Amino acid sequence: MTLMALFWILIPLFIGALFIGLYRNLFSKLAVIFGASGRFIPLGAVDAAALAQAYADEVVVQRRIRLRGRLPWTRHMLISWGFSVLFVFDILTALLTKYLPSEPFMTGNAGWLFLKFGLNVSGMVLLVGLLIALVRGAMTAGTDEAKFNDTPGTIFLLLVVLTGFIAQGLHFANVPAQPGFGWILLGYWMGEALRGWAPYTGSYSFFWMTHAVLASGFLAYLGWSRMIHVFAAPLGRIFYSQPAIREAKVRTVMEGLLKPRVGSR
Amino acid sequence: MASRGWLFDIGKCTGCYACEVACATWNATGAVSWRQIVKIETGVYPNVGTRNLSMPCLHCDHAPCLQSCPVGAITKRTDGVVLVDQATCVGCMFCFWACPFGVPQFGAEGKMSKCTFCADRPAELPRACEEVCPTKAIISGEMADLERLAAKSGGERVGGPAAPAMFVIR
Repeated sequence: MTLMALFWILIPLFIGALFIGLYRNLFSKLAVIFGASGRFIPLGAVDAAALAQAYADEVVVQRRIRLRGRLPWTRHMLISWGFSVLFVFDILTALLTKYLPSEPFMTGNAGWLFLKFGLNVSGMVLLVGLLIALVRGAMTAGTDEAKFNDTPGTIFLLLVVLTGFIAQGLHFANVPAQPGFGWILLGYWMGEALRGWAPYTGSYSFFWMTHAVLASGFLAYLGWSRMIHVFAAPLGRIFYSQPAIREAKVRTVMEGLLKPRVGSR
Repeated sequence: MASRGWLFDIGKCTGCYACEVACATWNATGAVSWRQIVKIETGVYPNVGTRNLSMPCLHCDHAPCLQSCPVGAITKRTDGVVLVDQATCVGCMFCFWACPFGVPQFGAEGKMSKCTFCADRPAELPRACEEVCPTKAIISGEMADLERLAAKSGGERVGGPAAPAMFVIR
């Protein structure tokens, strides 16, 4: 079986695993919460301002993590924003270079360079965050602080990023340099460093497919590991921002305290 | 191993908060409180009153917190005690929303913490809250023993689909 055939078998399997993981570890858990509270909040009761504030606090600036310290916050911001922007640029790149009519945007290499620039900046931000996380993980091993570390997830994501940069470097090592390639940053720098190393430059397709398989494997991993906090943590915090949900919670607690017998409701 | 739980005598509780203090001291809970005195208002004017309910984790048989945890950080020991592994917890608060008793607590670290049934105390000793209660309103033990004790005083098990491991004498 060729590497390409394996790639096309694994990709749908991983994407399927992500959705099964989300169903099993996120949506079914939300069903437990709604089942326990026994009531839904009408859409009209949603406090949009509070929701926006919670989103800004918990997702955009991650204020709760900032309270724990500057270093954990910096690390988490670099990883979460690096990953999110990288993901968006990945999707954009796939759409604009393969699926959508994008001739005006891509004409003269400017659009293509913009995509590569975005991918490289976000990838480098993510890489720095992951390296900080690994160093911090090693420094805090065996202490109470270790409970904040996710070493398997960090190493997995690091492999995704590194294989991506290596594949890109090997690609640019094989093509002649053009004006504006400097905007490609790390990918181009690696290409220049590798240029002429014949035994390595031929392995571009291997690294690209390894990167693609790892990246989609990481998507599957999101649904089955602590990384599910990417979806779960903002949801839980956003619930907390809603006065109607908090009031419903208080009612549920009071009813829970006052229930007289097992089995009654 | 026999399942363990609580027996609480509402009539005996004076709301002195000794249990809260003992719990916080023994378990070094910091800013959060694993056991809280809840004041419940009863009656109709002019015949009104307040009762005190000292609320720990009820270590439910079908713990909704455990069922709702997306990362499997919450487990149930063979003796029925429900525990959270803080190294696995991601602080999503799903357990808080699922618990019908408002038990899960979140401090500045953002990780869930709650009553561990004084997991680090030898089983033959009373729990920290139980030990200091001046009126003996709190009793811990095996559920079968607690059921017999509760029955003698007309007590009953706290209800609900989660099947909390607590008997209450009203």
